[in-house]
Amino acid sequence: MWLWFFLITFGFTWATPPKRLELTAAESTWIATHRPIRLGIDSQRPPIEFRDSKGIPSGISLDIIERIAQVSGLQFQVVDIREWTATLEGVRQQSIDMVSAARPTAARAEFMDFTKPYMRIPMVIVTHENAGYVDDLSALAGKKVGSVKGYASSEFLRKEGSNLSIIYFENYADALNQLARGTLDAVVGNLAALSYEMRLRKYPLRIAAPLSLESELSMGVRKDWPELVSILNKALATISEQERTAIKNQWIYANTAMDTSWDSVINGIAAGTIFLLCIIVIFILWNRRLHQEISERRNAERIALENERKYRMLFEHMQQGFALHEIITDADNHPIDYRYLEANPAFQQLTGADPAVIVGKTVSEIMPETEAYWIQSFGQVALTGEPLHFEQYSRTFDRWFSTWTFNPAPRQFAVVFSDVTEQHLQRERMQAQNESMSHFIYTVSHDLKSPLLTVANFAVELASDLEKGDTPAVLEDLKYIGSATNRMQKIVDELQLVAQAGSKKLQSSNILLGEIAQEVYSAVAGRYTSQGIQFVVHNKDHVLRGDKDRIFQLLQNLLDNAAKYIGSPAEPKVELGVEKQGMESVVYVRDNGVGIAPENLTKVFGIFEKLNKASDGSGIGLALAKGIVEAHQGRIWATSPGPGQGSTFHFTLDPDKENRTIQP
Amino acid sequence: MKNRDAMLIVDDEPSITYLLKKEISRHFKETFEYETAFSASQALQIIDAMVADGIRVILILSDWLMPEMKGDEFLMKVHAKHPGIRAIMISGYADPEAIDAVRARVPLRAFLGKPWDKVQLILEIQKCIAELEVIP
Repeated sequence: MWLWFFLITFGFTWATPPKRLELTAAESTWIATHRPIRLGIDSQRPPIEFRDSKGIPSGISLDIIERIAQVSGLQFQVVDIREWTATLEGVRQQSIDMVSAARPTAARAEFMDFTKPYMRIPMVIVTHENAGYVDDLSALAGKKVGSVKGYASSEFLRKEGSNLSIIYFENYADALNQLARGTLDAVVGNLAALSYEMRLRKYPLRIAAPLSLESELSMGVRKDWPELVSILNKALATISEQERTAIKNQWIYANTAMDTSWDSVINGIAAGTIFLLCIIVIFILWNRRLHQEISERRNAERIALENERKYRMLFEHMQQGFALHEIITDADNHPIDYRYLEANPAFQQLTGADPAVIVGKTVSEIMPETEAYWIQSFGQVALTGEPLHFEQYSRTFDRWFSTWTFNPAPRQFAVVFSDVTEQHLQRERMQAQNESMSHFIYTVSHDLKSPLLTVANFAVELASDLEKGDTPAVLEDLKYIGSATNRMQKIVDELQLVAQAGSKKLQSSNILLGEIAQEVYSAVAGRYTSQGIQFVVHNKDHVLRGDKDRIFQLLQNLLDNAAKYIGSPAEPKVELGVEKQGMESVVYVRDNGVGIAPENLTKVFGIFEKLNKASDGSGIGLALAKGIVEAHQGRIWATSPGPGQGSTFHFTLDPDKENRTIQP
Repeated sequence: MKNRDAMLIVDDEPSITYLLKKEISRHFKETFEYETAFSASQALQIIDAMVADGIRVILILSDWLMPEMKGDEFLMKVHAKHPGIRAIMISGYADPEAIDAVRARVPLRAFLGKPWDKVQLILEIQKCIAELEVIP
């Protein structure tokens, strides 16, 4: 880079040969008689003027001086004193004849005359890289600002800067050093000098803002040599604007490489090595990246394979039916049909449809009787993305399904469903059971109310009768109380039976019909004889299988019932027997009593149907019978030709149903 | 033979008929005769018998829920045959529609629930008796 600039300046100097000056005779004489001119420079103001590593005075001003020397014939001798202020003092004392770069100020004008400014270099504010925004001096109010002693910028700061504390340094280098360390907030000075130092030391600083002040470089001459001033001005006028800009740019922007010395060579090697190292590092990293990518990809493939396997396993073995579909819509985007894309084995199990057959076909092709609500609901999910869960009855399969539907991809819906028919029926059964339980409780409490009331009433009567000493009445009262409590006792007993019938485990044994009939008859004999009812037992050798106590209750129940509703035929008769109906043995109890109207044939087993209030028992009777039969996995039903034509109660028993092995 | 007026109490529960008879006879004493029946059909027979004997049945106190013939059917039959007989129904549970039906066809003087208020019972009976003076 520096080579290039060097060539440019070189080129310039060759391209534009210096004009010879037009001097007056007096001026020429003056030049000849004043040799050498003692030139004071500020050796610490690069790039304006300084001594390079070889000690040779260099810089912008010196390039200008060189031009002037060439053009005018003036001979210069550089005198440098460390401190700028001392140099200025030298001019005042006239031990130094001129300075090559100085800004004209009123103070200096007392002992110096200035040439016209030959260069303008802006003044700037330099701050730390990380400092906040500074756009002019006002932003530095209250801050510590560095400046070089004696420089015009210091004067400017003093005048223009308000509220800031100026810290003075010997040179820009020191000032910038402190700024870099953070002991200062800003440094003010010459752009050229500051940027030179910043680049050289690579400080983390930046040029924050220009000042309204521009550094005008002039040359200052001792006050008693006005001739020199005019000669210098003439000489300066010969240096073209182009030349000056070139010189300026060379020094301001290409400064670090001014010294063609080992430094630059070492720098070059260092840069090269670093560059090479970078390339190597990049290469290594790139390689690593590639390896990583490869292993990542392999990993991903492995994972994908694993996922596929897991999915497949789930798909094949899950109990729920799974199917993926694509929705088909009409012109208005309303769902009208759907196509099967995938279905799992469970799907086949639940619906009977073979995935191999249905995949690719639409539901209207395979199951045209599918209800519209299925298509609508699924379509909704496929088009809106909202998942759906419902339980619905399917006419096609006559089963209840619990369905979860979701939207895995646009216009598709996936369905996971299970057969909940059993649960549904169970629920219905439970509901029915609950209802009958409520009815039962209502009826029982009702049945108990009546005798309780009786006891209460007669207790009152008893009190007054006792008071009156009416003994017969007292006895009568007690009789009524007694029968009422008896009735309650019976109700409670039957209640217990009903509860037990549900809970106690069946103990099945073989029961001879004739034997148990005999036992049951002795329990009802009193009633039967008083009512004149004839009891006939058929099929005495038949063997029943069931829980003996419960069967006893069952038969007693049916016999009691028959007697209750025997009415008044000429020859009341109750028969017990067994008949074959298909594969089953059906036990029957037949009477020739009042019969049952057709609409009541099922009602008689209902708990809340009580047709005879005054009887001993409660309305639970036949319901109890039903409970016992059902506990034996059997069925009980009533038949009757009609009112007045007797009735028959039939029942079956199958207590070993669950344990039975199916005979081929 | 002195003809007396009679009241008929019909209920399939003996304890109820006993109590009712006791209460009413204790209050009205010898003024009336008191008969009981345990079913509607029995009651109808008794009414026919008493009327044949020249006894005037002025009031029937009847239950609703009875085996075979219910109270409403019973009272309608009575009213059809003997329109002059007044009726009070006493029941533990009577179908509201049935009550309305009875009231529509039979002049029910009162409907009392079980358990009945003794005072109210006597009051209603007295009202019936009072009517007698005006409308024989």
